[in-house]
Amino acid sequence: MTASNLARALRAIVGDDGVLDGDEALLVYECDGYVLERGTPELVVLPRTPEEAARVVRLLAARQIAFVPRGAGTGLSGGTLPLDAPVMIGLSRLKAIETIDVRNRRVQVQAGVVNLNVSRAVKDDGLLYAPDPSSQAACTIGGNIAENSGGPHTLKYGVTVNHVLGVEIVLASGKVVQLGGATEDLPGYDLVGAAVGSEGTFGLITRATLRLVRAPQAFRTLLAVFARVDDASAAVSAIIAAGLVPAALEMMDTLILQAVEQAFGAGLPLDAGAVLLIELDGPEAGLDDEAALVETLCRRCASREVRRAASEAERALLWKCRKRAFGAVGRLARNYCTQDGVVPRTQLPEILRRITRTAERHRLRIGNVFHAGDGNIHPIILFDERDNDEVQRVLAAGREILEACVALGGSLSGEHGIGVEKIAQMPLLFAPDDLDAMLRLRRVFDPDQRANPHKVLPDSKSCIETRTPRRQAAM
Amino acid sequence: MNSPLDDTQLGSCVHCGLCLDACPTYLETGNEAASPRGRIHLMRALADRRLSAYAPVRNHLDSCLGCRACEAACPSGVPYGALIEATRPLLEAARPAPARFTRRTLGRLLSSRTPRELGWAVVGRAAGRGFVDRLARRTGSLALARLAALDPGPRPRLPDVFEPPGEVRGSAILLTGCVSDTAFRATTRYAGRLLALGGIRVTVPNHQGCCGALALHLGDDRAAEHHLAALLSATAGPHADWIVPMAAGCSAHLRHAGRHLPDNASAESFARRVIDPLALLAQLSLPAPRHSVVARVAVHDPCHLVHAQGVAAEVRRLLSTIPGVTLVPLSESEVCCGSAGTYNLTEGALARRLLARKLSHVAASGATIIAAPNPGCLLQIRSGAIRDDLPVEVVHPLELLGRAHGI
Amino acid sequence: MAAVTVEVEKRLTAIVGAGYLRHGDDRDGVDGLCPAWVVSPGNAAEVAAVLALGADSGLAVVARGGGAHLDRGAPPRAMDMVIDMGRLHAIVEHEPGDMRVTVEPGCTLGTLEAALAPSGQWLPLDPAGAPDVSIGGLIAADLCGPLRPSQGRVRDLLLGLRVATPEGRLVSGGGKVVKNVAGYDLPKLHVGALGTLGIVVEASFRLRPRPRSEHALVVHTTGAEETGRLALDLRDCCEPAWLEIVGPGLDPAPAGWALAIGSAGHPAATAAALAAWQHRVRSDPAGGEIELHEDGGALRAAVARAGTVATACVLRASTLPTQIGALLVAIDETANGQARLAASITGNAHAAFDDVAGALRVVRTLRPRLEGAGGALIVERATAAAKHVLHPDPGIWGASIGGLALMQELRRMFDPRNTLAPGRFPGDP
Repeated sequence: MTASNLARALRAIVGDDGVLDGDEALLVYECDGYVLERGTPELVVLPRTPEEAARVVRLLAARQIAFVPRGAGTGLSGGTLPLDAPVMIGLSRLKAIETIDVRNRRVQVQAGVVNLNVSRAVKDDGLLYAPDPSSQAACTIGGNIAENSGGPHTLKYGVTVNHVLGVEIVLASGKVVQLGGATEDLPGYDLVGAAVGSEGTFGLITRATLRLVRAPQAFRTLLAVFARVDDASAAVSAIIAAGLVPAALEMMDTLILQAVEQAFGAGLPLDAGAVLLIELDGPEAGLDDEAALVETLCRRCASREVRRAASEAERALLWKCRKRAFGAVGRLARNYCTQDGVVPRTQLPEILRRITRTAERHRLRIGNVFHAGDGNIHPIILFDERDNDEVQRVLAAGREILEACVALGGSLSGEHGIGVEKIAQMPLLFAPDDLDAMLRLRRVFDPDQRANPHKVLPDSKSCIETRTPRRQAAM
Repeated sequence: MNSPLDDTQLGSCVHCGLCLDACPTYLETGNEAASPRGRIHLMRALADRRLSAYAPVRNHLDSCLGCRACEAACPSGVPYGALIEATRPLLEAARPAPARFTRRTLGRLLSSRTPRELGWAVVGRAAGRGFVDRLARRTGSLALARLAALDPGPRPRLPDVFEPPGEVRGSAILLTGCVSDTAFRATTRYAGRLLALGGIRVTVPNHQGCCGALALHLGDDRAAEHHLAALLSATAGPHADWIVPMAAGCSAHLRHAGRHLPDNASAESFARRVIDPLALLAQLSLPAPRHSVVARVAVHDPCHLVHAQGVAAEVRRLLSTIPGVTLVPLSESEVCCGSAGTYNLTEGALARRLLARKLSHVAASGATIIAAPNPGCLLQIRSGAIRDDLPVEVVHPLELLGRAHGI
Repeated sequence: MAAVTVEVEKRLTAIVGAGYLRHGDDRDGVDGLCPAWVVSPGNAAEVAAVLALGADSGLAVVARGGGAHLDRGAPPRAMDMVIDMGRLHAIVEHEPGDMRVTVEPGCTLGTLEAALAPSGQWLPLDPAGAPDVSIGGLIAADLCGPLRPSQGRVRDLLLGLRVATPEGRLVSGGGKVVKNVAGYDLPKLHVGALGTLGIVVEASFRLRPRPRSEHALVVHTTGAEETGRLALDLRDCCEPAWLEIVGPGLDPAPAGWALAIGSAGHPAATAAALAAWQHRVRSDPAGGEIELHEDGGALRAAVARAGTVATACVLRASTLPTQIGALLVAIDETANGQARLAASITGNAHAAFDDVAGALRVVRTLRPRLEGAGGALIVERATAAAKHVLHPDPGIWGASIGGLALMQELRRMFDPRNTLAPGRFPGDP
């Protein structure tokens, strides 16, 4: 079957403007938020309903054509890069919030619904959808499910998998399967739990049933200023040891503070070694007490100043600084790239020291802005893509940092996923038997590996040796 | 052809995608090429010569409203507005001659006084008339509805100066705009009177001409420079503290006069004094309004006001001073209505979809009055409301304030 | 046959040593089957070797932790060998600063709790009879208790697993950090799998700080329907740590219906919650007498047992929170008042029966209705005799399970020779 034949058959399903095949139309789909590697699909299909999406997959199955799903394309590990997948299925038109059940705290949404729109739709009912990746104003629920997205508030509220009750998935065979549902405790294996975070390799997720939580009654948002990163790390440990579970516990170091202050002018201290952004939430009663305890603990760890957001506007400004920190870093250097490693929380001081040493050894500037409460680091390496020697040092430094995370008992990725970016490092973390078990799981859903081929698990085609980092954002 | 696109500016996009959902055309189409990130990708491909400006490429870039909602959403501070402005002349150069001619003529007709007045001599007879309104509602014709949505003639004369009734606290030059001066002069008069009420001595220079924003939007950068330079000399008389353009598109454009005319010594100082009339009013201490307007009022936020100038809360604050006004929220108040300068003329299909989207939110808001603080939006939304026979009045907030102050 | 048996015994002895292999007897019965051998491996490698030997020899193998929940699932078709995990009971690593513990499957929740207490942390899973529950059983049977609405279930707290496979491998999944998206989430597959995909030899959990105070209320009410409605009203009034509805005859509601609601955390917050709930109850026609419980934890432990103890069988129903009252009424009526009922605010109910006939009637009548509405009604546990009545028709698991074909394929992929408790899981041949 020729490409134009296929396009015609697909247009019969999704309408004329739902199939993109011009060079210029495909070019913009050559990468997502991870821009180091690029490749265009032969066709992009934009179904308008989950049913159309299923028909598209059935058509592809009949012709044994592989596909790659894509939500908003905000992913940071190249999960939507087509590798041997001629067709990209974009979910940007599956935007309906189908049911909102306030009393049962459930919503059923189509996969292309933007994360923030779920919370917006239930805001007046005092509810929210808890996972809030920093890209939440653009990223889709389908993409969140594929990546098991996190965000700054995962310390208390958990990640995507903790809030997904059911998914509708179109298998590469074209079969539509409902996993889980609106009720809890359904019999059988937890296939929903396995499908969340499968990076589009199990099939095309078209619908999801999500759990909502009550929006917190009150917040206390604090900014603690430290002269040294080590002191800030100690404060993180002290807060956890005191039995507090802040909704968020985020760290930013000097380099990041400079960038953020330049961008947003929030009055952050430019001479500080690190600041912690700490948010407590919950019922009003007792919250001041806990905030006071946090303040005491920070001061005990040599914090020279602890500020409290006095108004919702001040809170919003602090969060703006944190959530947009990556973008702001773009103001310090022409290019940057970021890693997404995880270490046990107690190893934070050690990994930060190693990052500093790595930076010195490779003569690079590295900033840190990250989810300290989770041990999820995001070192940001600044560079200039026109300096090839520096580019090579950036690559080496990135590898070193991830290897250090694994050596300290951590993981390669806390929330960005493996995609193509970290696929070569998977054997650092998993033994051949572990990877084999994962491959078997994949074959349960997709025996011929036609859904997003060559992702997550290393194989002969998935590892690309030559890589040129350009600029990259991460949250 | 050497690309005038700035490599550093293009390179400042990190491809994070946070702009996607802020973009009205992406919201409507779900097509990456109709998103800010996609368009920057295309601009980069033009600059790198991976693509030439052939028709489908132009279509994607032409479909940009220029609303700059993406700039507000961008964490990296990508100057999207400047990038798309710099790209438009490239598109014009690649456009087949007939289309180029049509667009250029459109720009010149709208921004030149004589043809506009000749047109008004014909159109003005039917503008805002009851029979046109009834016919539009019956036939559902948007063209007729546009006609019905214009202010009915005869137009008021504007004085050369609006003198404050009491102490003079400052001075301003009122820029009457092109379309707004022709079709909504009553609103301009309200602006002058309200500012005077707030202690501002407002002068209205003769022969001020066009600011050049329209031409720039149509990719005619040379005409845009010419217009801007002429405007600077027309307003070069006695110093004024403020420059107050009546249209948000004009003020957004003029705030960057320094960038557009880097060699003009007065452009930068001019740009710094540009302010929207509502933003300026919000800084003044007006007396309490004397008349009540009993209505549920929802505010539409014009792109060039909210995204390009960050003006939104000011409008609501002013309206909330009017006795009887209950402000109600309007979903997607900051998403473009599809008017966007000449966009509704050049990109009709998408403009109509965006208008339908806006009207569905208007209907759902339960508002009895929609306050639209920009003439283009006012015309667009009012036309739609007339065509769809919605039970809602669409007015400029200056008019509501004017009524409340009894001026 | 005898020759094969002797050969297997010889090889098992070689793996675990003579003292850790014995023949099965009455104590080892599962659903009426008695194993030929009970093997007690001493470490993960031995577990894997024993299991591989079983698989290679075509044996049916059942893993056992504390042994308290072996009556779950459909009866195995065969059971030649029980692997007892009791010797793997170590707390491998507890790092308070990481709020994480790594533990072996034979360790009990009670032992773990005692070890964690000095650090002020806990694993907030509180199933009925919690102290005696083994970690392996906790995972395999996906056990949880009243705390689930606020603290989540095993799937929400499990970070990583090490599992012995029928091929004799030790496979790891997940990790030891609280946030991890590297690779597929293999550990979740083993939660509630009743040991059909492998045998857990080590598990890592995230921990939570033990709340500073826990207080609770019991509200006596008039009937199930109103209790269900009032429960949701109380939840919406102030978020509880746990909220259970308890039917007549059970502690703490010997006379009629009651709901028990608890708040845990800062003392000021729990006090405020209790005050708000009392106020709400007093203004509600369904609300009756209120008992205040200063020791909320003790009440919670009692409530956890409600509806889970029976001499015949226990059914478990899943529905939406708003339907819980109506569901309890329907079960009560269909069982002619013979079922002891309890339910969580999450929409999950337990019904305990001493007479299997009532249970059979409830399954036949209500299962189609629940499944039709996206819920489920399963036989959670039953005596061998009761299972005989309930299985295969109408069946332990029910007729409508989304993704059943995938589950069957998963089972084939991970247990190709059908070694692990064959017949126990939905879709098993």
